[in-house]
Amino acid sequence: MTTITVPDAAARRRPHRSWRLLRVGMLNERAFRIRLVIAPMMLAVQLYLYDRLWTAVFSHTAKAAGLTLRQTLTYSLMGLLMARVRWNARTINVRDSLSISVRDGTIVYWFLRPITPGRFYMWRQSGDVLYGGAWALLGFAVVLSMGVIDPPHGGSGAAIFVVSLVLGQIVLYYLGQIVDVCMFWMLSNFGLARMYYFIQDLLSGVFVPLPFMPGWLLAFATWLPFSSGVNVPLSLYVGRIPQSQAAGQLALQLTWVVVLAGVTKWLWSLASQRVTVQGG
Amino acid sequence: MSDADHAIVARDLTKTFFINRKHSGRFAGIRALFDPIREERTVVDRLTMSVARGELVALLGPNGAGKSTSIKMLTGILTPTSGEVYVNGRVPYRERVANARSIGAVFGQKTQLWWDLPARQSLALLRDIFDVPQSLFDKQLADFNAILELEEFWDTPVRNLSLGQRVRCEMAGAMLHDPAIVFLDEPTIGMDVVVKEQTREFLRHQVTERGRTIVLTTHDMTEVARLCERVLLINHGRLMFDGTLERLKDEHGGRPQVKVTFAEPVSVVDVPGAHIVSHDGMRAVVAPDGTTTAEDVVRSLISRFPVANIGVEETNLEDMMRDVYLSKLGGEPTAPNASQPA
Repeated sequence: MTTITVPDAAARRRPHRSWRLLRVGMLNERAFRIRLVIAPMMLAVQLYLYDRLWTAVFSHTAKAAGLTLRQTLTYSLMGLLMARVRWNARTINVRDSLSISVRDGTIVYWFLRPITPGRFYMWRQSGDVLYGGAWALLGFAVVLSMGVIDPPHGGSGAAIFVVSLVLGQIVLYYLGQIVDVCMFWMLSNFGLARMYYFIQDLLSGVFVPLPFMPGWLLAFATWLPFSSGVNVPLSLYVGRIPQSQAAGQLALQLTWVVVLAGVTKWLWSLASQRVTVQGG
Repeated sequence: MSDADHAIVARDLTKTFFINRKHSGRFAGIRALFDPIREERTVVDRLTMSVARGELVALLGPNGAGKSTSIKMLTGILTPTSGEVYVNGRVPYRERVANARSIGAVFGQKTQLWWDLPARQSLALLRDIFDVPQSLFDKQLADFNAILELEEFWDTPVRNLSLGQRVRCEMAGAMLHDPAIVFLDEPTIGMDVVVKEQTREFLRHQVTERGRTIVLTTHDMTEVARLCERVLLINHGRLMFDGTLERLKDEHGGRPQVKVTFAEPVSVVDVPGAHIVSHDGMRAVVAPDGTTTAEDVVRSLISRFPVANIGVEETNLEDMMRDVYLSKLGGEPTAPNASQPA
């Protein structure tokens, strides 16, 4: 009889290779190669239609909601590109997502692995974000080189935007995760997820730049974390929020990150105590 | 044997769920929102058992008996309502991450493989999740392939695999990280006979050659008879029998039945030293009552009635299980067997 191998201490000390789960999102996409064609086509159509729409809106006015046409186009098109970053991470679309795993009972395996379910979730989502981010970056390079949108305001403007963009993506990651973890209580959250993503896109500035919202809705939206996801980075990019106010905005985004990370951790600890396995 | 000598120890393990019962009558849906009726249901009830290292045991019971819930508590997925459980010396639901390194599991109706990816790519992802060194991964795959013949289909996306192919890949995935203890919840459900036999050979190999401990739940009695020396029967969440298959046969299956077909209808079948299990005029099933043998009953039947056909049938495992459940109905759970800890 051969003995069972137990990983030695040296093997345990080297970095855990679970980070390689980053590639799952890309592999899933490659399994359906048609998606590699459809994704850029969809993005191109959306960008073109938004360009035409805003150009028509500004045909009789130089400024609206305090923004010029160039600022609005830059905000809108980059908003679409930023939505693309987390498109595959919207887990109602993905078979091995947390939502679907709870629904079909395969969540059992999430609790049988030497990484926590939260860590597994992070690597899977990060892979999807990297994949979506690559498309968004490509789209950004294309529209920027075509002169449809403005470049950032200097090196400091670009740096502030990148920091704000990353913080915004982390805010959206935690918000999406909270909706997903609700599955442990609701057992089916597809309705909630659809409603959530509509509200997120509306109140973050993806559908329409937030300055175009009625005053009361704009005030309401700025009190919510969605604005930190898209509106703040884009407002910094187009100069609607001056660089002198950037520190305060970044601090607000960071506060949301800390608060939402705490809420998410707390929810996971509750969820892991009440796993229900559907389907026997 | 002390607890440390056992792969698995459970004492008075209990799991209770609260379920929402539906209101009836008008506005039932709205009333359910504001005044839900919660009902407590005990799925596993004071389960006490142990499994020695290198043992292959079957956890049997009818649907809803509490087998799967027991497995989910032993693997640490579910937190018990009360009682103690140790797997490889750890409390599984408290030390899930550490526990995961020493256990593997297959839930026959659920896949841990990535649906749209080739099976081998899924196994490579599991290699990364379990942090299995490449050399061990290659060796394990070669070993598994030798018995399960995975290479024929491991480059096929999981969604295109047959059930038998998929479950063979699931087995490989569950044992890739070389776990000491493996839990298999109805792994061969829906498989054809050839694949079932291949899977059984694989499991035998894992126990005899690799020294793994395996806990198997199944409804396939042939599988139990061919693989497991020890069986645990549970019903309504309670342990009804814990012992060897031989003991089960001696206590609950030692009475073969005589099946007889008469040449003409017989109105009353009466055989000394036997009781009539069933009788429909032309056919009867007769069981010796312990004071006689099956051969005595055969002789009596032939001498007393116009017999056209007659045969002796051993009681199968399902009948034995039924006998255990009926004999324990309303009674206390079975006493622990000799291998259980004090």
